[in-house]
Amino acid sequence: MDLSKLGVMKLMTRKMDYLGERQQVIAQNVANLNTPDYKPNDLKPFTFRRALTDARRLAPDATDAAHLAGTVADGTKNQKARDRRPYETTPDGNAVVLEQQMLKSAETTADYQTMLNLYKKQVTMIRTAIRTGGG
Amino acid sequence: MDFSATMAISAAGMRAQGDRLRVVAENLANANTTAETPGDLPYRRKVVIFQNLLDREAGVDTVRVTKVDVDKSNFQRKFDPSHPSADADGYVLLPNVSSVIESMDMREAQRAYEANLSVIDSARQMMSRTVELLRS
Repeated sequence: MDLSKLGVMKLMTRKMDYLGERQQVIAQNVANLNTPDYKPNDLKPFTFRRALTDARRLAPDATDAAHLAGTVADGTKNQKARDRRPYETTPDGNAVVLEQQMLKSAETTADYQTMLNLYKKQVTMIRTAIRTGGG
Repeated sequence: MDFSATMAISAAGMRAQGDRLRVVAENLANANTTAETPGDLPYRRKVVIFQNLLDREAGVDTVRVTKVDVDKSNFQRKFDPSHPSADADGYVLLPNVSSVIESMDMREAQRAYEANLSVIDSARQMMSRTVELLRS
């Protein structure tokens, strides 16, 4: 039985990947706190509905080497989105607000911890089901 | 889920802020370094320039101090005819370092350093909690 094929597990691993990548983007923003002309990035939010649609989307089948891959975004990649209205921009063009980034980082860590706990609960449940073999 | 890239980015940020602090220390230490002879110029304030460049080993964009440039603002002038490097009018040129600005810069560098440190900490926490799953 492949655990990663179960719907719930797949969704949770997907979300944890998203959170890991988001942490990287936040680290990038914080490291560039003083770089001139740097605008902070963030990932598009991960919602259940979007994850479901992405999972159900069929990619066009490329049967010939010359076929183009298409411009529809691959469901497994997280898309970067730039904040269009930053809170403040310094005179040298830098738009990173440290407090906002710290808040996002704390949010990401808390979400990740939540996902891990849910994952643990799922595995415990499966383990219980396997164990209870007797009458 | 590659947390090592995240930590590499933050470590580069910390390094850059450390360089910035070093330059602040240099400026503060030389705040009164005048020229040796009347014709020369005194110490010029230094400024760091950050840039976001691709680091080939880590494979991500990291921040780097690309240049330590000089501050082109004017020198301060003090009237002191008895000074060895006073010019014909009795003025001595002092470095264009303002200790208020430097100490504010130092605080900014410290704040940014701590922010990068906390990002490394949370990435490390996420990684170690994932590994802890194996335990239970």
